[in-house]
Amino acid sequence: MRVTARGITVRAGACALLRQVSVEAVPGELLGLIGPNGAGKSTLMRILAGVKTADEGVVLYDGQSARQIGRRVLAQRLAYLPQGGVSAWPLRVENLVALGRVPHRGALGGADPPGPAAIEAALAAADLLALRHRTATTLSGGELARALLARALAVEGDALLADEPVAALDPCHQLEVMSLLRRHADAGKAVVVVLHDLALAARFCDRLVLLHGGEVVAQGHPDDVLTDDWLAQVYRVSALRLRPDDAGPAAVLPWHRLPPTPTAHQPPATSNAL
Amino acid sequence: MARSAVADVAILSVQPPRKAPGSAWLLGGALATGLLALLLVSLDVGRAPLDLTAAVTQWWRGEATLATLVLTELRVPRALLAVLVGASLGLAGAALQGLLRNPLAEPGIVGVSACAALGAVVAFYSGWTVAVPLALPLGGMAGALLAVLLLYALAGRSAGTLTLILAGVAINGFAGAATALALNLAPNPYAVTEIVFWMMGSLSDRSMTHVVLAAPLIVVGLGLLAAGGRGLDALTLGEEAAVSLGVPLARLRAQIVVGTAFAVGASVATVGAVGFVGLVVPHLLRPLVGHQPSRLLLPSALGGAVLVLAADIAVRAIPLGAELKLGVVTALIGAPFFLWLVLRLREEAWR
Amino acid sequence: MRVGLAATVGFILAAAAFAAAGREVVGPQRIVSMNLCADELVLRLGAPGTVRSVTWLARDPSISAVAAQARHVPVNRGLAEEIVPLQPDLVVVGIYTTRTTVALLKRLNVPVLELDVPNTLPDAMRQILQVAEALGRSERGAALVAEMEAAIARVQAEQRQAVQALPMQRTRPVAAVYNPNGFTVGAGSLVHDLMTRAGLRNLAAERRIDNYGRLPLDLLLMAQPDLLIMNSIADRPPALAYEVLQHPALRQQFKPAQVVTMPPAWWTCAGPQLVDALALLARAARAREDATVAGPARFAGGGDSSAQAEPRAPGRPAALAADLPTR
Repeated sequence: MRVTARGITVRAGACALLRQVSVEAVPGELLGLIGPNGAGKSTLMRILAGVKTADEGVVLYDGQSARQIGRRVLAQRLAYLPQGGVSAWPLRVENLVALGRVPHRGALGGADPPGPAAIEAALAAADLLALRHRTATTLSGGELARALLARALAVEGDALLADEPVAALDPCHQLEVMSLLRRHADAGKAVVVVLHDLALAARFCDRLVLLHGGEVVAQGHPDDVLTDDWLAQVYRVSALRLRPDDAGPAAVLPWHRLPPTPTAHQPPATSNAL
Repeated sequence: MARSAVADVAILSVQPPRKAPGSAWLLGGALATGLLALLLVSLDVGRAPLDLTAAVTQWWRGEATLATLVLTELRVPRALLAVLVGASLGLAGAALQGLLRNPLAEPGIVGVSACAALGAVVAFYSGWTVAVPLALPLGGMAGALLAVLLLYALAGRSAGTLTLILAGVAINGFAGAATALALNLAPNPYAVTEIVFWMMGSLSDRSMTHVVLAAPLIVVGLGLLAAGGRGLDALTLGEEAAVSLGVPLARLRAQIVVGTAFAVGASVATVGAVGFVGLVVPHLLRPLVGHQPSRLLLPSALGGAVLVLAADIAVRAIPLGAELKLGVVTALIGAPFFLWLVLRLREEAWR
Repeated sequence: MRVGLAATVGFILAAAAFAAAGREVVGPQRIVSMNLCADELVLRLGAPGTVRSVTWLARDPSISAVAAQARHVPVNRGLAEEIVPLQPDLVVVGIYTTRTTVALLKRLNVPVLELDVPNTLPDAMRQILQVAEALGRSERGAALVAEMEAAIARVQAEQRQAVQALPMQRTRPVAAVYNPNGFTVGAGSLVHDLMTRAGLRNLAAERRIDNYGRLPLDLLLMAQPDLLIMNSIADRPPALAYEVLQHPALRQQFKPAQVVTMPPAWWTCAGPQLVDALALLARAARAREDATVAGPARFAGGGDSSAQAEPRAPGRPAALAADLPTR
């Protein structure tokens, strides 16, 4: 499912959280949303997921608005994993993951034949089969994060929006989840992920969108977005670049902090293809 | 330091889910069987000795004897009302806890029952009930609705435990004072002493008229609450995830609020404020259904009916001279239980 | 000299006349009553103009038998602040009247007469005489009692006639008094005495409920009394206390002819209206003794309409009766 956002503006009181932001997530592509804290990444995710309405602009799903598609159909086709998720009740992991089938369940708990298979697949993909009977509140932070991701996978939607899915994970599971998302995208889904880890972003994402101060300052291939200029201007860091093998993606490692410069906050003309 | 509601839930729900999902049917079946058994006992117990089998056979044959009169006009309405009221309180408790994601939310604690009693008192003592009998449960519903709206205004959407309890204290205090004032100003001198009924509840000498008046509204409320199961499940993940799962959040909230108002409002208007049922029953049953909100709803309704029916039997069976009030029995069970929950929360705070 | 003698004789005669007049007992001139039953007695027995204040309940025709007379007398609500400025020379109270107010009056050296609750008809008549004497109106009291005794004699004569007219003696019917909140009246009360004299058996007494106790509805139904005696139900402000009186089970079990509607004013206080209550009960008892029930209409005493709230039943702890002057 193609998710298109055009001219999104979100205001909170006097200040603008997002200003004329346009992004597009296409099937088969892993799109990374990056930017410093407070840039508006999570807000944009919420807009894309249809959880929040923008003050200006439209969001289209395969060319249709959310109202045209219908809330239920949209929920079946688009999975959203919010940042810092919790489980209010101490459910068993497999029941927590099963919550992803709610859009398919029907109003009065109707049958959901593909459900059990979807749940099994999600548990396997998130490496949770050994933990399926554990209670959610006894999981570690990383394990819970994987469980919530599995829940999003269980929706079996055509699009997956994940807000910082790897923040609490150990390196092994970080790589595992990113590989999972990569495979998900390769299978033809549209995947959007918010990341803080520039190395992971550079390595796994097809395209990056760099947000700064509520605006899109750069979009495109990681090589084009994670330039020294942008890193200095937006993140105020300089990075080491390694290329483990010539054909593969570069490893971008933020290495030095840069002192703030007076002209640092003037964003140049954006390369906004849309 | 304020703790999130989630942390409190974790503390209060330390017991892991015990049984496999298939046993939900087992639990429901066990509760339903218990309910039927208690119904039979309830019909049999009373101040006057009644030969139940004889009365039933006479009623079946269409004979109008004294025994059938006591059975159909006294015992049966009492038992039916106990079941309806208990189901309302249990189900409303489970639904409110699911909506507010806090295991301490309960119609009595958050002030819904007290406000329903206020609404009913105003409707009754002002004389509107004489003209329109339906005014009584409607008054209760109006009061209950006011309470839930106030609760939202005071405690916000995902209320932390402290905020929730404080809001409940405020609403209970307001409702109690307003009820006392209304009774004080009522033109009938009996009114002042009748506050005991409104605060403590009683099922004695209720008639089929009460049942016929309250039952439709209670059933509508129960239906609204029971239909919210799917949304409450999704709310486990938080409001945003729930919306993304297709749950119409505003509609769900309205559904739970209105359902509570109907069920609890009509119940309290008929029977008085009976407390703690919506706290004890869902708490005991939650581990047995894997802590899943949707699976808790029906068992809570059955469990609430069982509890109130048992309490009503105790009220009649315990040989005290004066008549025990229903709310006294439920408070004797529920208040220590509530204290124990609070103590557990406090212990954890020191760790 | 002759003028002086005539003047002296005249003076002595006048003095003697005054002295003789002074020996006549002059009763209290500023009487205040703080209790409904006391109201009735002072209004019936007191000399005109001597009663300065009665309670506000006395004007309520549904509970007071002297509502008409009370209209011409100022009312009080049992507060010391209202009583003391009237400078009464006699205050008549009941033994359950607010203790603090009575204590205050006694401390202020106001003469207080405390009336007990009469438990039998003779007790009631003795109370009438007692109050009459305190008011200095003994002859009036005696006359009233004589009227009552004559009326009672007539009622009993009618009873004897009816008994003789019956081919065989039937057993006395069982009656149950059913008041708001399901309260009934047992042995040792004025109501019980009246019922017994009217030829009725009191269900509450047979169940050993003393004075005022609660009768559960299912017990009442199972006992199957012949008569149900209730207070007149008419427009009155709603209270839960009345709900049990309108329970459908009562309507189904008791036919209209089995229900006696007694105006509370008739048998609450000592006074001639007690005889009306006795007559009503006697008629109802006779009707039940007959093989056929006499007529479909309920047995109703007068004053069915405009009944207001009942005063709290006597025998309850004083604390509950704090806001109403009770017997």
